[in-house]
Amino acid sequence: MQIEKFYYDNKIVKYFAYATIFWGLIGMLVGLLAALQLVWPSLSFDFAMTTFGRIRPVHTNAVIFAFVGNGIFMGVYYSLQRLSKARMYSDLLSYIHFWGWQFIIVLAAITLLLGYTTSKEYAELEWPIDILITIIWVVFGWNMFGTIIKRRTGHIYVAIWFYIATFVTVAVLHIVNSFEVPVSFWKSYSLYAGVQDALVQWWYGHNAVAFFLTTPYLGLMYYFLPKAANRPIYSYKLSIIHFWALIFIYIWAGPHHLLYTALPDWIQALGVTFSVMLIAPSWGGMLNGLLTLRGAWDKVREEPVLKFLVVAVTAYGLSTFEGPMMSLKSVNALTHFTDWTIAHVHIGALGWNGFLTFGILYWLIPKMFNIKLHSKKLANVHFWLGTLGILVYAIPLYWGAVTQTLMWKEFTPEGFLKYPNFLETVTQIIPMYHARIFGGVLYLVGVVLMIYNIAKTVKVGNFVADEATEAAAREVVSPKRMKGEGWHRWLERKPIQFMLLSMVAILIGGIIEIVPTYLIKSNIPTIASVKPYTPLELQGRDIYIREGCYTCHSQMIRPFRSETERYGEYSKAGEFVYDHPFLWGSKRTGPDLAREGVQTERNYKPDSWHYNHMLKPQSVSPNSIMPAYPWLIKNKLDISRTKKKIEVMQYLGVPYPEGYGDIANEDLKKQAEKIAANLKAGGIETTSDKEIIALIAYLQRLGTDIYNK
Amino acid sequence: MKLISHYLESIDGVVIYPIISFLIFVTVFSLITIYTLRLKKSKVKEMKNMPLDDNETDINLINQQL
Ligand code: HEC
Repeated sequence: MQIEKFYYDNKIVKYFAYATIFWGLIGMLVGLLAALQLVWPSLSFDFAMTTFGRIRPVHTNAVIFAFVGNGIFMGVYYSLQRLSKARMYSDLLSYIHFWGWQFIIVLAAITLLLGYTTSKEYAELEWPIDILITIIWVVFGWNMFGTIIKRRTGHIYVAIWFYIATFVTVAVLHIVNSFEVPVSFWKSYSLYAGVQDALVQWWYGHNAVAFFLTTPYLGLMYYFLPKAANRPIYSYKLSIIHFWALIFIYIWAGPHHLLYTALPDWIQALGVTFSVMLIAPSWGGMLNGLLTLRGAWDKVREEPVLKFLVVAVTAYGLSTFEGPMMSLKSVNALTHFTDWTIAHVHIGALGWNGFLTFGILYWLIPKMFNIKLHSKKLANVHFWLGTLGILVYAIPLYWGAVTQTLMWKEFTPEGFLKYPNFLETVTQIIPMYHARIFGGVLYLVGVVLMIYNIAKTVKVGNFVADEATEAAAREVVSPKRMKGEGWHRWLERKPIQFMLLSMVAILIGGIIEIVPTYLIKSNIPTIASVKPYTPLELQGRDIYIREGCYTCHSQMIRPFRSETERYGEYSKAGEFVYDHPFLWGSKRTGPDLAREGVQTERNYKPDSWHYNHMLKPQSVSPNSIMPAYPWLIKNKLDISRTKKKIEVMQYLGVPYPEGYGDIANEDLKKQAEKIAANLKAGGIETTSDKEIIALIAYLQRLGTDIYNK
Repeated sequence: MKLISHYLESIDGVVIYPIISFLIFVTVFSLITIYTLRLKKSKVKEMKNMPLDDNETDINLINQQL
């Protein structure tokens, strides 16, 4: 057998590691700012770029795609080379990938702050960036498969299967959810509308959590946990079952509960058993990780790396138990739209993703720099600060969520809402928001300690950019199945077949799941009185999107008495048929706005109220935590694109009369004049060409259609 | 989401989709389980040790011993 000498590329791993740390810090700082703004709204600084509605998407995108994203690549580039006994396929691709990804992140941060957003959660970036992401993702895949193909090992270790599944699925999800029609370079409308848009978006959202935050990190767990503990994974067989069960169940059975009501009894019964079963693969994975350390717990006590990994895996177990519970209808009715969701995702993000990343960093940096970690003690302090931080972050939010949801639902003996003023249910839980800030600060201080610790380590270490190693060349085996070889083993030897098969598995699952959502469009009962938005309202809607109002306000009244009593008639699917994109929201920091414009409902406010409220919410709602939007009062509405907007809507099937784009601005001005006159009657001097006028027009339209006979 | 499932229900023959996916899932999952359980011990061991099987001096191990 011929022994070949070659070099691992550590430099690219180092680059991704530094990027992980840098963006992690930024993402968390922005998160902290958002948390502060929810207590002190003046920290939005009356400045568009720093209001909550724009900060929040920057935070989520930074943490998911910049922090965790770079963390994935760091771990993949390190482990893939070792598991393949080969250098990355192409250095050039590696660095295109690295700089391309950082460029995307910077573009994302800038455009989100400028208000260029599609409003679809975790897919907010506008179409030019979507295209760029696709290209860079392909570069990553190309480099990865190139490496797998030229590997010197016979088999493909289970971690790499997780990487492959991640690559394939994220590609599919990203493309399907990003279908949009451009209005201009930084503005587009979703191809889908209303219910359909919501279904596609949450099909994406659900699976993005699965295939960006979960599967790649499981791959990392299967490599770095055995490495750090210096013992093989507890059960390799379990890992095979874990892998297949997880990718099948996630893409396949995830949102199935949507359909269960239409199923025959026998399969519903199976379905329930099955839903409970979903916990099995996740917990199988968690136990596989924890059991790897059996008999080595004394080591865990000593070694901060292992401590971080253990808590990470435990947090994975917690959130994958909580997730299925939250999808039970009766539980969801309570937790949806509350801070429960926020607490849940932070167990995942801070615990599972964060701690796994820190564990890997503490292991990887000393290794690549050929030196001991500067201070184990400091790493231990980081560990305890982080753990405490997670608890102090999450527990108060769970508490606040329960408090608030019960307040929303409480009736007096006479049958009235006990807390008809929404704001009262917010001020009640402000102390919990204070506690959450404290938890976040603890966690962040831990991260700062880590940065210091790593900087110190790096300073005295000797970085090995190209690590020399050697391995036997791979024996050329017949591509055919060998005698006595199982088909799965044969498959493992062949990365392309493996990729194709997992792609087929995911695609069949995806198609079967997504087809009903395409059929649904023709199955939404149309409501004759539901009409397209007027040009002014459409412009107002775009301002609503630009300012990220949906990060705090839902537009979806659920058919519960507590909601119809508070907000009005529950929302009907037919009301959203012209909503490109849908704006249902996912969190009620403020009240639902679905019927804001309905004069007969309790929430109706006159134009002048909205004007004053947007200028300074606290002037009409004392103690409100909504930020002020003074620039809407000053800014002139840009009507140069009205025509194009109407035309794109027409292209998407919204029934404006033929040629309406040409005269749309005339209608827009007429409606604006009316609102300005209204405001004048209310004692407010303004001109009809301001952005606030369009926003008011939109708010006053909300939910009114079904009342027009 | 109940709101939506109501409309999904009204699609003709929509029931076939979850049933198909359910059946495919059960079949593939059973096949994989059977295959996995029948794997040879020596092969499993070989694959299991892949992350540890590299000729690097492990600085972290030295760390741990110090
Ligand atoms: C940080 C979260 C937050 C953001 C962002 C936010 N709001 Fe609010 N909003 C609230 C809260 C809390 C209330 C309830 C107290 C009040 O009336 O100010 C509220 C109330 C309202 C109300 C009155 C609802 C009613 O019926 O009482 C309207 C209308 C409104 N917001 C519109 C908007 C618009 C438009 C935007 C975007 C330009 C926006 N909000 C952004 C939190 C927010």
